[in-house]
Amino acid sequence: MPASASSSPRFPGTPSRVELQRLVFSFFNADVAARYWPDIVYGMWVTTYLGLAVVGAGLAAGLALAMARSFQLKPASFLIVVFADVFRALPPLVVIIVLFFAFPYVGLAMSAFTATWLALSLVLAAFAEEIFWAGILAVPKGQTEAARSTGMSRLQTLSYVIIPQAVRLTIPPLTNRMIAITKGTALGSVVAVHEIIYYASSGASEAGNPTPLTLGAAAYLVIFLPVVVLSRWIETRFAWKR
Amino acid sequence: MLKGIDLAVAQGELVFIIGPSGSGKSTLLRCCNRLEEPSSGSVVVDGIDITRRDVDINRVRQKIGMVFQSFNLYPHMNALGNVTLALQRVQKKSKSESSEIGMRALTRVGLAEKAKAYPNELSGGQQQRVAIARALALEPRILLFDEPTSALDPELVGSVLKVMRQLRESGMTMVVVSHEMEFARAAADRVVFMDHGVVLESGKPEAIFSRPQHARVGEFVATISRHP
Repeated sequence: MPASASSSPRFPGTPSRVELQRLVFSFFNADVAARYWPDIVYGMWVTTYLGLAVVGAGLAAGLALAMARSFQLKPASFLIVVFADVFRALPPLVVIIVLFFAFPYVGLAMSAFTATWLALSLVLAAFAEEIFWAGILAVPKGQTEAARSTGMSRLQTLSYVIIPQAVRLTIPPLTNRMIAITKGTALGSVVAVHEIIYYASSGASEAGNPTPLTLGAAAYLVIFLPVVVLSRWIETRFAWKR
Repeated sequence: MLKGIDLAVAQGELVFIIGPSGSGKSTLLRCCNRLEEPSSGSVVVDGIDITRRDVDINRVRQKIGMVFQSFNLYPHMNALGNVTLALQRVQKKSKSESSEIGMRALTRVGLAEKAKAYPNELSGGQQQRVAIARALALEPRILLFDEPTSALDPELVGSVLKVMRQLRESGMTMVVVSHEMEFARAAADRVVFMDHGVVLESGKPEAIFSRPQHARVGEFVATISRHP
């Protein structure tokens, strides 16, 4: 055996003791963590608040659009489809930047928070509209006929018979979309919304150490793991039975 | 498609509509509450021309009950919920009043004890009887049945026909699209044979079944009797 394999034999890629220490110093630095965790916690609050506001507005708007579309008035349906296609095609980041940097030129200045909220809500509304619409179409036509035959109006039929069934069908795709869009709140850091990533990245550059990013990652897990687990529970709870 | 149908149904009458598939039976029935819009002509129910522009169709439909081949119960509501939805939302009745009316309707179809059951917990025959109760709860002047037993297992057909017979005895006006010949013979006041969108023959059941004027009617009746 050549002498090059000096002391303890290692598999390639297995970190040495020194390397491990460097890793811990860089990413799990207790001193840095102690200095920056209050910022990250504040960022968590902003992320949660922003996420909830986006989900609330986006789902409500998406449902309203899908319901409007089901009245099958040609011009209205056309506009809704155009809206849904445009906002599903645009990257959310582009929408945020346009709202925040371009709209002030036409006299529509808004805060970074508002711009991010509005942009993400519009994108979620576009996706939610398509998902709700697919759900409405999936409810058998006989349901509408039965409801209308008892004298219920279109809107009553939609509200009490079609939507409750459509919503059950749409829960799995909707929860996925909600999780995706709420993680999109990180994009708000580009226009300096004080959410998790904003504090994590500014903290990292200020400290010259990436530990705040580790804290940020942990913060996302704390917020989103329960959401993911909850969505799984909701999916089984509302599993479709006939 | 229908071509110049002229059909009058008297109060308390049970009219049976038979005919080969595609003959327009269901279309005719669905024109009676405008689930299908007639392109011309008029449909008069209880003295009101329901095809007129200024008619409040949602108001009129409450007086025209309809029962469908595939039941079309709302799967997210229990039997009582199905029966009371229109009472509460359309007629704006209170919850307790709706429940009372709903339970009476379920009792009439013999399913009071299934009020809390969901459609997927009921047999096809029970589901169809709940659907009949849903129509009955609104106290309609006329009931339309669109092949009410075609989707049922043979052993469940009897329970639905029994309810229909009771309705007949209580004086309900009914128009039934169905191939239940035995039932037609026993309960119908009149049988209407349709083919290619026109009424080919109409008369008392024994006349249609035993002494049809048209060969086409005789053939059809013979085929149906052999393979019901």
